[in-house]
Order: sequence, then structure tokens, then C-alpha cells
Amino acid sequence: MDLPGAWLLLAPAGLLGLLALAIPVAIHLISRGRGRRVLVGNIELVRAARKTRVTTLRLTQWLLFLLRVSIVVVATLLLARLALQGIGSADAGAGYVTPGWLRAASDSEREEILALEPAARVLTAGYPEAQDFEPGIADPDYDAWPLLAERLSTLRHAGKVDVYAEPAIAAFGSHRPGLPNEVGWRLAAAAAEPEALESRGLVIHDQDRSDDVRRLELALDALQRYRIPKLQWQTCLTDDVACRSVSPDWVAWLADAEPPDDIASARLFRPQGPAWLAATTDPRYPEVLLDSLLSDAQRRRSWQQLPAGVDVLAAGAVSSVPVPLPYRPLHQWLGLLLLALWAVERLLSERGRVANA
Amino acid sequence: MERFLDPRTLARVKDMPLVARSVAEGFLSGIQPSQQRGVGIEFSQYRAYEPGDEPKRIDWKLFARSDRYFVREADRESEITTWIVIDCSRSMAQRSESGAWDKFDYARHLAATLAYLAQRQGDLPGLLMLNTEQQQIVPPAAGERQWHRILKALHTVSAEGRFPGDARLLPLVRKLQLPSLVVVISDFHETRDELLSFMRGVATSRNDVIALQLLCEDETAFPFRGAVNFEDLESGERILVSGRAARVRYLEALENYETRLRQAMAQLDIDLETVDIDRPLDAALQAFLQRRLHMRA
Repeated sequence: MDLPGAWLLLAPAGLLGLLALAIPVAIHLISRGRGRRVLVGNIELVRAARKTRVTTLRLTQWLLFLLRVSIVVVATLLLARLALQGIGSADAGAGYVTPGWLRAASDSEREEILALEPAARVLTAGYPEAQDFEPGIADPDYDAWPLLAERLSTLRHAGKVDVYAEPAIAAFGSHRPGLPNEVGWRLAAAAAEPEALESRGLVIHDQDRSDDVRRLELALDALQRYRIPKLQWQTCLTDDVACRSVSPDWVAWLADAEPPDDIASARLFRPQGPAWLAATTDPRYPEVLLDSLLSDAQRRRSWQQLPAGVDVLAAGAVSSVPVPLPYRPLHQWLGLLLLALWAVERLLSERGRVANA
Repeated sequence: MERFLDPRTLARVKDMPLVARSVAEGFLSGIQPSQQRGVGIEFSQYRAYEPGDEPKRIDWKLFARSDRYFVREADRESEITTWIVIDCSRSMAQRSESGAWDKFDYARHLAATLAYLAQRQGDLPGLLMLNTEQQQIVPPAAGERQWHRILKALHTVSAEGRFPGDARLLPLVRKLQLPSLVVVISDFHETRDELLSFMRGVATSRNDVIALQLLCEDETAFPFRGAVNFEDLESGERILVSGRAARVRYLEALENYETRLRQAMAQLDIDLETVDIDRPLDAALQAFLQRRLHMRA
């Protein structure tokens, strides 16, 4: 839920906690008529003594009331996950460079990066601007992907985000959270595709394996987008013999029956059995699939050459699924505030109780 | 061991006659000559004739038998009318937070005890209970049955309303103006001037008036701390006060109030006795008996 200004409620249902406001209100109403009721025969004597400290008493009661209301409100905001929207210019795009790209880029490419407005930042600790970055000094152990993810979810880039990277998977690391923005991947020219890797395949299945086929195709789709652009495949039923006339590099056989001899020559794999089933739910399924699709040599080449580090499953979400706005969580501050308010409230009310005892 | 039972103990005994009688007897056994001897109707004892005794008091029949002069002694003729007046206004319902009796309970038990004492002394106790809602009169009379009449009457009135104003009281006040001992039991908290003007009306040269002011411990010590909401029993007015902070001022105010009351009573030649209702009844009884003895002298 968007609030005026830069505020953001990540879990508006937490606002139901405001109902708890009834508690301090009730306490206040009760304690306003407080303290103890004492019946006296002659109120005049008390009236004569009244002039002292009643204002303090009332003030304390109001202060306690305000404190209690604040506690409820802050606790509610904590429940509703109040956050600050990510800061950043509304429509400016952004450029990010991996240290490896800077190292590998040609001079003209480097010029292009330095001319970017706003200045491109390097995906390493501290996100230095590209012109301030000395390639070679950078710690090569930084994983660019999590850095990028953090940067994107903290800042709000409404515009286009370009990432200049060299196609080395190591630069991105193994952990790849989803990105809230769509990202354009620019590969360094020095590492441009030398030669497209081609792979043609057949998916053969019988009627009752459509679920497996869907998952398989999803993974193939991801591979095609991010790993092997020239990956092609055809899907056909087991009894569709005409479909098999092409000679594929690989065949995925999803049927209970044994595959006929005429396709046994191709690289045949049968995605079935418990191991496969477990693999399909693994985020790394497409990469596991890659092992089956490619020969060893091809696999080595794909590793080298592709826009590495794309989280194939999350990549699907990058563009199509609405991701939460980038935000700055405030729960530490709210928690601290809550604690402080609570402490003051306790202090004040205990003091009152001691005086009452 | 405490000789007098304090109200907390007495409050557990729900039987008012029993309480009154045991308090009175306990009290009488405590003071040595409970009755004065002298001329009277009821025979008490013989004593040797001493020069100065009236010759007519010599018992001649005894002289005939013993050949010695003896003088008949009897309990003194008393027949003093003792009016017990109880203020039954709502403010009499005040009590200490830890107290067993409120002022009205105390007043009633005290009245029962006083009536018992009076009746035992041969006096004529009468009872007058007053507030704006009700009034209860037991005309003075002698004897044990009178005491029971008073006990019964004590249960018919509750602490309600205020102390009545002048107009309604006139006929009653006239009765009290006759030669008598008048014991007024009240907290002497008044909204206008009603109690003082009543006292003014009652006090004459012919009668003796004792004012027993009932105060409770919470009233005199003001032990409250923190926020306390005081509510007036009669007007219902509420005042929120911080107890500890108000204490000094309150005690000053109470002191002033007491001084003024005492002065007003002194002007009317009335003895004012302050009685703490959380203490045993003997202080009040003492005041009563002292006054009673004083009347005989």
C-alpha cells in the first residue's frame, strides 16, 4: 500500500492492529476517574488541600495515554511493515558494469561507459562510479549478481537498467536472487559470441505425461533465452512417426514404452523416475538439463560464452511477474522506537504505582 | 491484653445488645466506684453514724437492736434524663478503608452502650435519631425495657440525607432544653450551618450537652498516596487529589476546622469530645461518665 510521501506499507493487513487502540483509550478513561474512590463526609477539607499537584497528576495521565497510543501505533506500523520507498530519480536509467567487463572492454567500449549519464557504477563493494574504478584492484571474489539485486531493490530505477558484463559465470556467483527491474545484458565485445552453439532436439511423449512435458519445455525455454539462443526442439507424441524424420542431436523420451531403435542413435535421455522428479522442482533444473542436452565439448563452450549468471527460473519473473517496489525496511528503527516508548511508559506508570501503594 | 475490645473485634459480633452490654460491663468493672452512695430510695448499705449526719437518717430500728447508731445509705437518687442524639446524615456512613464500622455503626453501638449505662445508673435514657428523611424518637424512660426500646429504634433509621434544618427541629429541641444530659453523636460535618444551629438551640443553662465528634483514622491521619478520587457522601462531588502531596494541606485544613468547631462549642459551653471510631469505645464512655459525675456534684 502506498502512503503519501515516500512511505510504504508492505503488509497493510497489519493495520488491523490499530483496533488495539481501544486498550489505551479504555485504560485512560478508567484511570481518568481514578484513583481509588474514597468516600468522605466533608469534601471541603479535601478541596482545601486540592490545589497541589493535581495538574501533575493529570499531565501524567495524559502522557501515559499518549505513550500507550504511540506504542500501539508503532507496533501496528511494525506489523504492517512500514517501509521507506527506494530513493532514486524517477525516470533515469542506470548502467552497471562488472569489474571483469571493465578489464576486458576495448577502449571505445570504455569511452561509451564513461559517457553514460548518470554515471555507470561498478558492481563491487561500495558501487563506485566507473571512472573512479581502477580495474585490477577490484576484489574478484565479489559476486556481481547479489550486489546488483541489492542495489536494484534499494534504489528505484524507473528507467532502463543495463548491465555490462563479460560472459563469465564466475563473476556472478552461485546465488542469484530475483531482480525487481528488467535488465538489459550487454556483453563486452571482446568476449562476443564467437560462434553460435546449435542444438536440435526432439521431445517425444505420450498423452499422460503432459505435466512433465510442460516443465521440460519451460526449462528448455529458459535455456534458449539465456544459455543457448540457437536451441531448437520439437515436441511430438510417441505414435507420431512423421515427426521423428528429422535427425536430432538429442531426444527426450517421456513415455512408459521403450524407445524404438531408430532413435537410439541420438543422445537419448528419459526424464522420469524420482531423481528427475526431484530435479524439476530444483531451481537449477535447466542447468541439470543442460548436462543431458549437450555433449561435453558443447557444455564447455556454453559455459564460456553465454551471458552468464542469469538465474533461469527467476529470469522468468524479471519481466512478467510484478515484483515488490524497492524499499528500505524500517523495522529496526520501529523496533527501537517501540522499545524506547515501552520503557518510558513502564517508568512512568511504575512511578505512579509506587506513589499509589 | 487489651481491656477494651476494639471495633474490629466488636464488628464480628452481630448482636448489638451483647456488644453494648459487654462493653458497658467491661467499662464499669474497670473504674472503681461505679456508683456513688448517698441519699436515695434504693437501700445500699449501713454505715456508722458520724457527727454531721442528719439525725433523721439514723436507722432507729437497728439502733434498738444493736444499741449503736447506723445511717442508712442508698444509691443516689438520679433520675437524670439522658438524651442521646444521633446525627443520621449520609456523611455518617464514612469509614476508614481498613475499618470495620462506619461512623453510623459506631454511633449506634455507642448509643446502645450509653443507654445501657444510663439505665443501669437509674437514669432515664431517651433517643433521638435525625436526618432529613427520617426521625426517630424514644422518649426518656427508666428500666430495662426502655433499653430494649432504644435498641429497637436504633435499627429503624439508616444514614441518609442530611441533618435537618431548623424549622422541623423546633419542637424536638424544646424537649432537649429541659434539665437533662444531652449527648450528641455526630461527625459535625455540615453543609450549611444546621448542626451548629441545632447545638445552639439545644444548649441552655438548664441542661448539659456533650458533643461526641466521630472521626475515623483515615480522616485524621490521611494515609492516602497517589491518585485518590475523593467523593463527598452527601453531595456526591468528586475531587481528584494526589494523596501524599495533599496530606499536609489537608491536615492543616482539618486542624483549622477542629479549632473552629471547638471554639464554637466552647462559646455554647459544650464539651466537645473527639472520638476515633477505629479505637475502642471507652474514650467516649469516659467522656460521658465524667460529665455524668460532674452533674451529680
